[in-house]
Amino acid sequence: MNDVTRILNAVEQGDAQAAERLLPLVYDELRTLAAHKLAQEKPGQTLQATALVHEAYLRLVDVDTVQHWNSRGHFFAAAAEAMRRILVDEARHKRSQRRGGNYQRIELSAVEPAVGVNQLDILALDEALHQLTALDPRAAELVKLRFFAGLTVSEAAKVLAVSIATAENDWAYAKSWLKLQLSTNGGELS
Amino acid sequence: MDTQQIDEKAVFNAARRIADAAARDDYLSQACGDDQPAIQRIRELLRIHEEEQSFLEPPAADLALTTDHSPIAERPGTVIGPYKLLQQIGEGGMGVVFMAEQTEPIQRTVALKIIKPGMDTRQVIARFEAERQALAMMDHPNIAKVLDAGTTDSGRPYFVMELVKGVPITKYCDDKHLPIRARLELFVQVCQAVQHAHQKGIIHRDIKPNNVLVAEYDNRAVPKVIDFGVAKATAQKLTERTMFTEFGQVLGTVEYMSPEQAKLNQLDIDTRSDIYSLGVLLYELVAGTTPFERKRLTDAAFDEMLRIIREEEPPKPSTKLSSSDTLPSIAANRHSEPARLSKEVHGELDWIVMKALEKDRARRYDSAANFAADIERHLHDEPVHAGPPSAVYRFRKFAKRNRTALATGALLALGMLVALGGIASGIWERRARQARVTGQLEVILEEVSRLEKDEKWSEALMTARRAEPALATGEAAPEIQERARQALADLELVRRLEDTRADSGTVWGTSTRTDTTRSELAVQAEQAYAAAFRDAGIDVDSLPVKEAAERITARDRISTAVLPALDDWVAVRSVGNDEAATRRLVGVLRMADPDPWRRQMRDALARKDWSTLQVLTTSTDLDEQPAATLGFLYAAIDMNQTQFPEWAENERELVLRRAQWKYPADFWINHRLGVHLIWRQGEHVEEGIGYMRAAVAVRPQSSHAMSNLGAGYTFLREFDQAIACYRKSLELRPDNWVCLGNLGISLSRKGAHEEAIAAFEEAIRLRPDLTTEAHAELSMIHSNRPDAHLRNARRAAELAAKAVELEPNFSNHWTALGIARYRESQWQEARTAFDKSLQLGTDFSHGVFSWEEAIDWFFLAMVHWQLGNHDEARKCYDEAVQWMDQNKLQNDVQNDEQLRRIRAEAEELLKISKTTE
Repeated sequence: MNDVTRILNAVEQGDAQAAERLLPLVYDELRTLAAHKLAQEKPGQTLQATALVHEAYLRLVDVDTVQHWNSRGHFFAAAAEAMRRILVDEARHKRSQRRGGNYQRIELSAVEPAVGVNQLDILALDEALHQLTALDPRAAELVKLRFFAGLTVSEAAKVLAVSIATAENDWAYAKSWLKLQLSTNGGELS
Repeated sequence: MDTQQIDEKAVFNAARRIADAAARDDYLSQACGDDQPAIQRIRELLRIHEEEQSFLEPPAADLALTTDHSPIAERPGTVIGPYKLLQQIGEGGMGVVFMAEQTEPIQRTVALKIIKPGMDTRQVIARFEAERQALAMMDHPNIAKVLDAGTTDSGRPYFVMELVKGVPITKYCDDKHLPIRARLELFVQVCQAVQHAHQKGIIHRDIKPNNVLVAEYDNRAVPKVIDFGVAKATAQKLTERTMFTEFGQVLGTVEYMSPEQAKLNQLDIDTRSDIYSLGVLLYELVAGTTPFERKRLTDAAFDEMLRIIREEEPPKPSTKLSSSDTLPSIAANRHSEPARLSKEVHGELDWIVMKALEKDRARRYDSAANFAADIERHLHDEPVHAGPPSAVYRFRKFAKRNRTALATGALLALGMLVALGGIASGIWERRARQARVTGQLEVILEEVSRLEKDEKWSEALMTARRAEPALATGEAAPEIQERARQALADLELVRRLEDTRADSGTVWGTSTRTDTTRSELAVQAEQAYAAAFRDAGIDVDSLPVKEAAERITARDRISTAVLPALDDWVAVRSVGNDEAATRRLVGVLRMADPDPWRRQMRDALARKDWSTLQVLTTSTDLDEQPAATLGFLYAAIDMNQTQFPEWAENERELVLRRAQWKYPADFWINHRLGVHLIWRQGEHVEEGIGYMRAAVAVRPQSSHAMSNLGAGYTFLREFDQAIACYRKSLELRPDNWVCLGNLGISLSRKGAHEEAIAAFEEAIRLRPDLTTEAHAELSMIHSNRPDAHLRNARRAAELAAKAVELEPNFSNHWTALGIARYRESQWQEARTAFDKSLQLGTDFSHGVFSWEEAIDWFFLAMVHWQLGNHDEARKCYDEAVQWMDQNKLQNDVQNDEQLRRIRAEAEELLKISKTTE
């Protein structure tokens, strides 16, 4: 059984600390995966975060052993968070590059969020998302699952253990809320 | 944020459902009262909701690909035609199954399966209707009838079936711990059911455990095949899109798919496809897993997955069993023991299963009835029709080539038989025996070449050794005997080469810090290579170059092991600076392996042309190279890393990572990457352990890999884990002195001093000249263990002096010598040693030793105290404490029991009151 599968099983059995160990593993996997894919692609290609997350899932999780939706949920929750960090890190990195310096790393800026957005300022969105988390953590988590891991509303509902109707309400509200917040925060809109 | 009592989300969500603007405004003022800002805000949110539909939503192109996402809406209580859904009883790739109550025309409970979205409902129903007549004619106690089909209100196709309260046959057998015989008896009934359907012209197309349920009636296990007609009606064209969900998961169960089903235009599926799936099912019932494991198939890319199913020869059930990690539990589930189970399956059962799994359907059982009949013959100890596959196949091929000759021959033989009658029986008996022994050898050789292809060398060797008794009789056909002998000789050579390759790792490893030890190890590896080749009839140094190369090329079956060994040999030989000999070896290798890419690499290395080597690591066809080449390229860079100063560790590592990506199951790649990361230490160790575990999994008999895994745990200070690994490694090779030294270190860190002493002594006994580490460590135990009565200053001094003599530039050894001298009350000598150690500086390449500098200072403090220099002593003590403060984040400094003890000793001597921490 591989590490991730083992951790998922531990989570399943109520080991709360196990979930924390999941994130770095998934984060590394996503980064490596993205780097590897980009190395193979022609320059200028972009990668879909959704595809990356799902490929990571297949690579990391022993699907035969992990069959509970709960476990999958934990995985995708971790993946959403990992993808958020990757994209935010990249956005920060791009910004900091202006200062120059000899910063060597694999360029991941060609990874696109799961949900298509043109010219969206990831950092501004992330800030707004932080604010939403303080107010309505469940809705914020739903946005992460949708936006960074590409889950559908019903899949995300399963992860969050809420009804689809609740998830749909959260989603509608969160979208409007974030959009409004982005304009209040002064980020570039539309 | 919002402190008002208004639940903004609830109001928003209620309001957005009110279409009429006026009604909506009414609702808002009702919900928010006169809180105008709140009303304004919710209005704004509602406006965004309407105008910015696409914000954060998936792009349209994605939507188009994922057809229909809405989940199945039918719930318990829903009425579909004459059926009322009661409760959900299952969910699979194709649909959701409910228990349902039928009210008309008769009252009964049925199973109702609603097909998941993504299929054209009309087409599904039309296909079902086409087969409906035939389905209605099926009447067999082991078949659950399909009763009806239709369309739900939401437009989904559904099927109504006889309700079976059973569990999948594999689960049933395991739960009940059914022995093989009982499993076979159950399986025969399944075959008979399938035979019945086949006779009515119905092919199942999706036989798998979930469709073969076992229910108990009157305490009797009754298998029931379900879903006849469903798979055909719902069949889709096989494309990447139909096989994978948007989650990337494989839809349905590919493990049971026949080779002809795995073709993109699967036009002519016939009953023999079901025979194949039955074969997979039997395989699983016997061996506990399917011939190709799900993980492997689903991990593979789509085309690769189909290729495996279509082309790859699966291992026989007995082989699968013997290579399974979980054999004990598989055996227990079959009410058996591992050895007994393997024996039971080996032979006839292997043959029966493999006949059903033939890639060419013409060579499978031609009917389910004949499949069942052969199993029954096996159960009644009658000779089965299936035989060792190779012999039959070879004969057929032969027959195809010599059809007419054979016909005449058969007639002639018949005539002779009649004429000679009983006289010939002796000859026939001997011939029969010969044929049997030959058959045995053929089966073994076939298995050997399969294992060789997977580079499972030691398994191949073990299998080949099974041929020895048969060879000893001398009865087999001479050509086969020759092949078996050659295979044995080849694999023996591989064993020695792989062992030497594993050993030669220490030439480059961290345990080699001086040029003298390095060249000594290199000479040793060099001689081992020479001897292995010489004993295999390839005396590289005395044969003419061309002749040597030809003899190597002749062993083409093992070239994937021989060529990398030659590369490694060149590397260790070049340490010895005998340029002529190295050139000669390079010459042999050049002729034996004409591959241009590798030639370029070797030439660059020989010329010390580092820039070409570097260019190769980024060349576009790098990924096309075999694993061994990539591993060697990495080794070449790694061994000469000082030549690539501008290269970061990560970049060198990238060569390996790319290789590992391409060859995730290659032993050497995983091993190298694991070693690389583990010795990078810090945050890399855990990842390194992952790869090392992969290496161990691929080659569990590798003592070095197991020992290196232990080293990983040692760096993490998980000493129990580490010790377990070292012990296992030593079971595999008791003379692994590197491992013994590592074991000693872990034991000593745990405070198991007696055991540690034993491990170090053994390591030193084996290699007195190379185990400097063990010398120093053992010395430290003798001079420093907590119980002062058990200390042995004399021995400690002896050992440390030897370590210093062998490796004078390593500060650790001087520390050990200083402590030993201190224990002998030789203050001046001790002082010299500690000064020397501090002057050399701490070697951080060994994570577990990084507190050495603090130890030096503490002891130096005590030395000065003993010499009466109290001020100097205090200064040294302060240095030590300061050093500990500066490095307190290091695991070792915080946790090391020895360091704490030494500090306490110094504080007591210097009369410094206990620090409060």
